[in-house]
Amino acid sequence: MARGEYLLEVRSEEIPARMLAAGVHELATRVFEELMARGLRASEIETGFTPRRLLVRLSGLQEREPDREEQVMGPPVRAAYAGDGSPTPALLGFARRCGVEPEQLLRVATEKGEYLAAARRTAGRPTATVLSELVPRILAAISWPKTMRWGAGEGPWVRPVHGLVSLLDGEVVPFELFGVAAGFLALDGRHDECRAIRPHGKRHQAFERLRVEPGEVRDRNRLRDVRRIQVVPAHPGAQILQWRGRCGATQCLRCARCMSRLGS
Amino acid sequence: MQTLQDLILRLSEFWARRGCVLQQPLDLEVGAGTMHPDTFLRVLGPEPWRVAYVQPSRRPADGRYGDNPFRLGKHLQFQVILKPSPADVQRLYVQSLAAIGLDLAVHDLRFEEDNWEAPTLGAWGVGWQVMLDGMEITQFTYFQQAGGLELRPVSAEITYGLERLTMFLGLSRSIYEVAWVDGLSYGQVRHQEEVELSRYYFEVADVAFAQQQFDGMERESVRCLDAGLVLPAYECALKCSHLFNVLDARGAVSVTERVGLMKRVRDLAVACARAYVESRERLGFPLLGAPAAAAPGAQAAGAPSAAPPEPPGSPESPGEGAAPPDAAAAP
Repeated sequence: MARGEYLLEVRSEEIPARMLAAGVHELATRVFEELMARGLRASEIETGFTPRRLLVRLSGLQEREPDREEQVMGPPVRAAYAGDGSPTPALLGFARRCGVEPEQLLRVATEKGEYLAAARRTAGRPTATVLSELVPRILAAISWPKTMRWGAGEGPWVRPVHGLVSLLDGEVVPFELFGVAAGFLALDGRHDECRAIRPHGKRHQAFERLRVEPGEVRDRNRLRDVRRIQVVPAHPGAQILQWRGRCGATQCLRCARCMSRLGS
Repeated sequence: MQTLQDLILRLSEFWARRGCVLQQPLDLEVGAGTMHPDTFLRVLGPEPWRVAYVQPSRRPADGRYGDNPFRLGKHLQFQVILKPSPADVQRLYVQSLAAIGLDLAVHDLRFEEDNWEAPTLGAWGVGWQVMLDGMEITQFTYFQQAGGLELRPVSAEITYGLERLTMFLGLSRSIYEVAWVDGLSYGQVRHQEEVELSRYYFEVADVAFAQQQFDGMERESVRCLDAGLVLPAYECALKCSHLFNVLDARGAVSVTERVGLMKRVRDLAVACARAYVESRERLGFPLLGAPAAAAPGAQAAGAPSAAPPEPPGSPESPGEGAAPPDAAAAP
């Protein structure tokens, strides 16, 4: 299995056809962009949907965020040393708070004069931790044209959510949304038989299922609703990435012209 | 062949086994099952509720003198309310179709976006029209607001069009050919009524009298509310709603009057909704914790499925014992 592969599947009741393409596109784009902002760059994105399923697959993700280094500003230099050059309580207190020795402090020139500063290194978090925080927030915030509530008042979302699959290299990236816990299995709350899917394993298995699962995509009309979009690495002129649809047409990830074509 | 009354019996039995109160039709003219107080008022407030009933629904402007094979001035709705909407409400609905003899392996069932709105009730919901091989057979709605009030919990409303479903099941080409019972057609039972009601609503109804009644019923509704009588006030509001439909069918409502009359009905409905919630609150919301609506066993009763579905996978239960991937993909 390819390392760094994240698979997200949402199972819900029938999402209106006019909203599906834009919804899954927004979901994939926002997850991709928020990961980018944290230094995690996917090399490939794939999306797919049926009326009751949204699927996003990101691959080529690193194991953890890059470590971050930042400066913590302290007292001004003139307040840091007494007349005899010995450190003041302000300096000592700041060094203690930052967990560094006084001699490790830096001097930084600012508009307001010279200040002391401490370098702080933050270790990058594991990608799974980042995803488990990002994904539920992005999912809940998809800008559907019309949302609803259900049950005891769960929501708002476009339609009731029944199942969530969230896997990074076959391991569950846990989160909870509208009382549904993400896991290995996704139930759709519809049929008698437990039509759970286990999308980990072969790489494109979940996407292949879009076409073969019984009941889900049975007639030709619904098959037309299924769209598969692949991402290829950036090329000159494209913003960040480029999508290649099954029809062969290419679409830029953030280009207004391509967005409108995607929705059509 | 399946008759109309078979259909009613089977749907009634199906929903009764799932914890629904089998209610009777409201004995007033209403445009839809939604206007029955067991829907419109019961979906308000926190109390759980499950009900099923047939509601004859009058839409005077839809009358066609008994000539149109697909349109009626009065048709039958089978109405189900599940409050709060259970997680498996779609599955229950699909099972109910199996219970009336539909083989979904050979028919195409589709849920197409259709958001419901009733301006005169200050109500709206989100949902679908359910299409069976391209024909609408059910309106499926999650109520979001009624009487201008936000609804928590949310109720699911399932409204079956009984004539259409029977037509579909019996492959009839006209509503009037549908068998009400073996040996007696829908036309034999109702055709004269359709003809006469159409004539009455389109040609004969006394406009001035209907207007007087509208004004009178509106006053009466307000008087009832002042006396603390919510249900009589709501009945008066329903009469206003029907009288508005009569005036509309009679061509007596201009575009400008239309807005004003609808607002008067809505104001009554909104006032009744608020008064109803207050009245239930004064009673301490007596159905909170009521066994019938709260029992999860009521949902499963009679369901043919062997094992309950597993909850969505958690890290502790990585799906052992669930269907293997290949089984899920098998036809």
